[in-house]
Amino acid sequence: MSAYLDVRDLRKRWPARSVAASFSLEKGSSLALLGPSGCGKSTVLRMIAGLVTPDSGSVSLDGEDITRARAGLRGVGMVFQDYALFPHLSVEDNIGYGPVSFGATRREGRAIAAKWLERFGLEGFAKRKVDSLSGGERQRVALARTLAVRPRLVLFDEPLSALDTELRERLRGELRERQKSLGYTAIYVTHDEAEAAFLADAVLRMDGPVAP
Amino acid sequence: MALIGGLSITVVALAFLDPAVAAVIPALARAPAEGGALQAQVGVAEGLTRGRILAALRFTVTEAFLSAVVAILIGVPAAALAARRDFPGRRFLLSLSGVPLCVPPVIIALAFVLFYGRQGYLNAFLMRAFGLADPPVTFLYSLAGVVIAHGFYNFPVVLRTVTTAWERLDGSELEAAALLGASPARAFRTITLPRLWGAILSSAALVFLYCFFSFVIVLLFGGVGGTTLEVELYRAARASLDFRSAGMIALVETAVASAVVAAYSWASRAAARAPGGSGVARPRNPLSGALERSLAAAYLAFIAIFFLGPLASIIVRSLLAPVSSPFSSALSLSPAAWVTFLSRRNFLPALGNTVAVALAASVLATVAALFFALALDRARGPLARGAANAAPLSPLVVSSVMLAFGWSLVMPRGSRATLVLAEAAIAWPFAWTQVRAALDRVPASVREASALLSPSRLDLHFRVLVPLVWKGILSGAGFVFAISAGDATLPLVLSIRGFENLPLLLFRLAGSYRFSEACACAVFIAALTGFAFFLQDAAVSGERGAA
Repeated sequence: MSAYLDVRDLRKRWPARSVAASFSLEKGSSLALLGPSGCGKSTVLRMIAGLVTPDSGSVSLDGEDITRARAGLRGVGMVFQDYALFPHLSVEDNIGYGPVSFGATRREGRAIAAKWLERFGLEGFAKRKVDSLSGGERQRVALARTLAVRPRLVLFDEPLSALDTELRERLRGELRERQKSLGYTAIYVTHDEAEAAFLADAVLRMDGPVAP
Repeated sequence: MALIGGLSITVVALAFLDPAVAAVIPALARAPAEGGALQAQVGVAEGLTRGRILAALRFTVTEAFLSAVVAILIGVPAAALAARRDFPGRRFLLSLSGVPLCVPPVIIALAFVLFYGRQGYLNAFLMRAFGLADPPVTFLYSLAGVVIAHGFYNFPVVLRTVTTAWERLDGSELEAAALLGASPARAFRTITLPRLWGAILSSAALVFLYCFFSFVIVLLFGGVGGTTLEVELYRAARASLDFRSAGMIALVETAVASAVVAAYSWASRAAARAPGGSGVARPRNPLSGALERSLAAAYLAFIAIFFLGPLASIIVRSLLAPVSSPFSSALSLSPAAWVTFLSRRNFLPALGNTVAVALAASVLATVAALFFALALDRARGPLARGAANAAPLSPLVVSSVMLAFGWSLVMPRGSRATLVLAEAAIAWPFAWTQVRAALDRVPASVREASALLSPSRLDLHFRVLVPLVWKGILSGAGFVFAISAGDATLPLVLSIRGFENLPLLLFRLAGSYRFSEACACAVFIAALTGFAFFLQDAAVSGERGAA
């Protein structure tokens, strides 16, 4: 039986460099892609998400080949490095954005948002603009927004790099705990060895980009 | 130094405020009220006047609003293309934003007559291609003509502003939306559009104001469909010498423009405040797919034909002359128009006047702008900020025609000096914007270092700031020169006895249907203002590159 996530020889080439990755992941587990900046780990993440089209290779999730599926329709969520929250929308409309995209009414979207806000200890934040949030609150909102559409796989692109040291240590504990308690399958991209070891069940080391 | 500075600022401020106030005073003066019959007559005249002013107001607001809509309809797709895609001609498309500033309206009017007129190139082509007996395109001398000329002329304003805002949009937000299942249409509607509203509205308000005060184009095309407040003001002030009506029109148009300027400042502040996200701009992709390529090609062809076509037809027409046979209206390739134009008795005096007035206005406006900017450089109080923000808006509130009318009341016998003062008063905010932007780019640490090294503020200003921002100063001067050298409105309304410059000459040549010669004149003016604009653009890009 094949693994829950199977990334097979996924490759992207540019004139001067290329990036390739092969790995697999069990349901409910987590993996950290570790490597120096510029080694292509974010590109691998973006190929899995469908934001970058690979030149060759395949991605299958839960037995389904999603290599060519549209981003957003493959059940893959992502927490961006800068969180990419929508600054013109309130916290609840950020979290409700995904459910509404998939057919929920705005009201239902807000109800879903309220549930996630409660789960993440953010009650009372529904009407706030995202500009007024602290770094830690932003990260929680970004994660809640990603989980609100119940993705089959959650990708984290340098989830802690925008934070100061103290907050980083607190939040990485929080991230680890949430992944265990909510049971989602996760891939983290990071350049920090200790962070990789702490966050994930397994660590995949990526070296510099290979020649094309 | 302080004396020169104070003097130049005072002169320019007075050159603006004095006529602006003078222009509205007749509206506030009491009407003569002796004798019942006369009173009745005045009442009837006033009623007529009010009706005419209201009709002109309606027409002006309508044409300015529709022109802004046309500019948005053409400009926003262009911005989408320029902001999101790489294609040959992209830089050229963006450089068209110089057109509304450096190509004078009198040239645009001529270009539209040549291209869209009854005997224009478009009709000639359509009649030949489809074997038609009558010209099919006849909208030029109507509201539609005014709106289309204005919309096309000003779409690059929308293009430039919206492209800049679009390029600032955060790439990862759209990716996040895509991952959350949003279709491209939903992502555009919910993420992109809300972030562009400020830019779209502020550029639309600017186009509205330009068109609201547009004079030459309406004077030429407006006749049949209606007339604008500017043209009514000109007629009242110059033809019927009805100063009271002229003053009332001045008051009305300034009131409306002030309201729109307030909306404009609000929208541009909203646009500037629009959160910039992480600032990770998305890379532009090349055009992909047959549909996208053909849509882009069709759009660029549309711009090339309907926007560049009229401008190109001026150059073409300047190189054509009537065939000498009296039985033919055909034209043939010939330098005759250029020879006639350049050897006109009044060519050199007109050229001399144009350059002299533009240079003098440019020096006066730039010196005043520089000193004003230096005076406000350290001032950060609300009053100084208010002055700094309000200054560039002044020519949007008071029109050229109104200013010239005011001048003609202050100094009934206009002179070259009056023209220089009026040009400087109208164009100085352009110099101010350039100088101010350059000063804003000087790091605070440079000012602090200068303060530590010399106790004199003058040292900071003249040994540090002025050498640092000289390109901005040059750019401002080039801007004012270009605007002044292409301006037909102020000389036309001031009607200085015995004075002629190139834009006036062009206006008269076109008015007497000497199109080939008018086109040679237009190309000459465009070269002059385009060169000044190019110089200032080069200076300002050098400045940005260095910063």
